[in-house]
Amino acid sequence: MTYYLDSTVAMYAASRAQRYKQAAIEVLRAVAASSIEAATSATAIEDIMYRFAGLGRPEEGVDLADQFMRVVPVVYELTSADLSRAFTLMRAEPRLSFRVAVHGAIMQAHSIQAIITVDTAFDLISACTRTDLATWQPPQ
Amino acid sequence: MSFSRRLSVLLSPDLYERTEKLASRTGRSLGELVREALERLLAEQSEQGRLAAVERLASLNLPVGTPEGLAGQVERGRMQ
Repeated sequence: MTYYLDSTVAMYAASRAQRYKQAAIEVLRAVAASSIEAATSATAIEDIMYRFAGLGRPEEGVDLADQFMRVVPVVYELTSADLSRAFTLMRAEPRLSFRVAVHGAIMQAHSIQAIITVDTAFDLISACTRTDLATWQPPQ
Repeated sequence: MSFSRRLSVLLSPDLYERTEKLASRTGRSLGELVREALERLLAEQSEQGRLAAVERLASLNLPVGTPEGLAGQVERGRMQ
């Protein structure tokens, strides 16, 4: 099974002491050691960059995104077909933000159902099975 | 170390020119530079390299708040 990692995994792993930090680090260690298969996307990298740019700290976004991309072996592109799938998801669930719909569409394009994130908005996508960092357990 | 396998790679004129300048500046051959770059890339992509990236990431100690706050900051950042 491949897990899709959104930007929250990267951001909490890089956070100051925070309740999700250790779990996020464990997820990334499992990915680095190939104990679990994982992918992310250019959209997740954009989320990191936009957040830190918005806070006036773009250089921290660059450092974080750069290291995250060294850990996660696959970074999917965003295609026009993904955008069409995102629109379909939004029509089916009007509460879905465009950003979350795009992530969901990229997951669908690559037949990924599992996502590790603290973002509960992914629960609005019925095809997504969300694992929260608070409950994630490393594989035995 | 013996070099018994040949690799032919096409480069853009710009990349070739920059690589040639670096070779000239550092007194190394183009082949040495390509071998060194490949060794670095493979080390970076190895399990050890990826685990090291996790530790670097963990040591960044960046300000990150609640999940709800994060989503809002991403959305606001996109609008700026």
